[in-house]
Amino acid sequence: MNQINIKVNGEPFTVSKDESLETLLLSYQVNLNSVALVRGGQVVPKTLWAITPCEADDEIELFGVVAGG
Amino acid sequence: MSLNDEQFIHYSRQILLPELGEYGQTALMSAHVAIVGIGGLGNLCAQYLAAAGVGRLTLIDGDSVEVSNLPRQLIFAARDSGKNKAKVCADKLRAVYADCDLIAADCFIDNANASLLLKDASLVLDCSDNFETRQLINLCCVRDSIPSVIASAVHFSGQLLTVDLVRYPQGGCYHCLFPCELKVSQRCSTTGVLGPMVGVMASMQALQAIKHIAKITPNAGELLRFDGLSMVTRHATLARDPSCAVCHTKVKERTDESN
Ligand SMILES: [Zn+2]
Repeated sequence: MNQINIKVNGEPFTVSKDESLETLLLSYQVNLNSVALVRGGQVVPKTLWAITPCEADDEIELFGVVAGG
Repeated sequence: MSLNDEQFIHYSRQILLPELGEYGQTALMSAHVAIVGIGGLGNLCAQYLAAAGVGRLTLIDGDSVEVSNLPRQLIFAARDSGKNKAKVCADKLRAVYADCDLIAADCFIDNANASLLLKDASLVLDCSDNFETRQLINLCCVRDSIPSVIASAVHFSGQLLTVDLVRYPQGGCYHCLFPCELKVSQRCSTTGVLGPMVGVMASMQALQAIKHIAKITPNAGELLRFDGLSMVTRHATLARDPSCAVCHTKVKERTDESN
């Protein structure tokens, strides 16, 4: 099997090779409308998640919007 | 605009900074900053910017002071309860900072009044307290080509970014990062927040604003997240969403203009 190891918010996670960021979020059981995504220190806009594949050793950060002040 | 002797002494500790100098101080004195939301973030940003010598501040808030605001909205006192936040803040700052022209707008920003309220502003500080207002401010700033410094704080989480499609088109806008369909789970009124947590974010927002005005390496195009529990700060490079409903046409216009 073509499995690759990545990290999501610092925790190890395994996904299939060529899995998209969107598929990753779904298998991570995250509502797509609840987070922003940073991959390797770079924001990936939501419209690109479905067409951006995960790569080995990716460090993914997921976080919600903070709107208060 | 040039500095008189009195101003030179008054702002000497700022002018001493080689990054700021007389150029930066003059830029501050010529700047017009609109602050949307005079709550936890906004009252502190207003104080810092007025004290730094920003020439004109427009303070926008339709809300009134409540006693539950006092632990983090340091400019207000119990006797201000029930009075409009923008007006009270403007009155108090006017009495202390003679170089700053203070305008108070005692209304909430909305689709109909936004362009008028932000008219002539050279920079907008988004100090608002809800996602819908943040989207509206972004929309107006992108449409009217006004850069914005955006900060937020709830619980022990803070976020800070600068949107400037002229200087940093590749960073995109607020909507590129947080599209409007996003669901927000936490609010100050329901989750709680500490005064210094808001203070950290407000200080960073005011610092970014001053640097932006003085054109000092402004980290535009970068998102900063601060965790007040672990005290960890994380940085990420912002990326424009090529199909962003808000800034797509604006960035296209700019590219067409420069071609
Ligand atoms: Zn955008």
